[in-house]
Amino acid sequence: MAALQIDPCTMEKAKVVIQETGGVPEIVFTGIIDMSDPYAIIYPFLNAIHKKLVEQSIPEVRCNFMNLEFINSSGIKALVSWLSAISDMPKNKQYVTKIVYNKSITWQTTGLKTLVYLVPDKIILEGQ
Amino acid sequence: MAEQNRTGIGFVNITFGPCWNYVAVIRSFLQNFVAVSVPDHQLADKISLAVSELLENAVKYTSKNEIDVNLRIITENKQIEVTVSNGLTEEQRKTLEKEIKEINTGTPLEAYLNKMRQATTRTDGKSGLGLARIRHDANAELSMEMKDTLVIMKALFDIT
Repeated sequence: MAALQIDPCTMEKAKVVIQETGGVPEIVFTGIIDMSDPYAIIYPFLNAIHKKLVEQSIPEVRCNFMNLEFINSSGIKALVSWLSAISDMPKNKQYVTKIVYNKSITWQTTGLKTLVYLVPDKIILEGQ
Repeated sequence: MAEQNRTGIGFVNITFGPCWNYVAVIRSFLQNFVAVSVPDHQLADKISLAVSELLENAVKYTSKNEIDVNLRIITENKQIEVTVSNGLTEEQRKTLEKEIKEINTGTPLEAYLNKMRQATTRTDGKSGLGLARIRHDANAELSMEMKDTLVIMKALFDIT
């Protein structure tokens, strides 16, 4: 996990960091992602994490949206591109992504479930 | 709210210049406006999401210096109508008509997943997800009409 250290992705009203929780890498989103092109900032960050997860054969990552109040469609594109990269890999190389979402935030309950269809069997949803 | 009590119809109209920072301000204002008018916070959240996506598109693509957003609570139909109008070129109009047709084809989930797959191969810096997201995540009926060089995007929500 030490080699998975990647600088946080910092935006005007939001931050995305990678940390370790219970031995599992966890990508934590906080704030409001509503600038004009968050994809350009978030996707390189997620892609860097993706490459390290694959290199180190890490079997699972958590993606925590509990404190993300809002994300626009450009930000959603960053998530979609990342998860599609997992989908494009051979099945035996794919890692599990556990999406932790906030049940009291409407866009998360309606929107994040859709991501499961991008990598069937490899994305797990956990509402809190 | 007072206006709604007096006439049975709550409405708000905002005209603003195409500045990105205004999108968040208007999104927040309209979310609060719906929340105090309709006892359904999820609906207020969904309308807020739709307003944000429509306004982002309007700010990005308008050919004029004026964007108009209108929200009406239609109590007799138990619906809320949001319209956003802005200037468009003829080429943009054709592209948008094609988009609307594509987004309204199939179920909201099918249309959204289709746009997600397309998004990963786009190289123009756009996501192309906003309108499909409104139909799926916000459960809205989407349509457009043209008045000369103005496009009027309409999102219709049922009050349950």
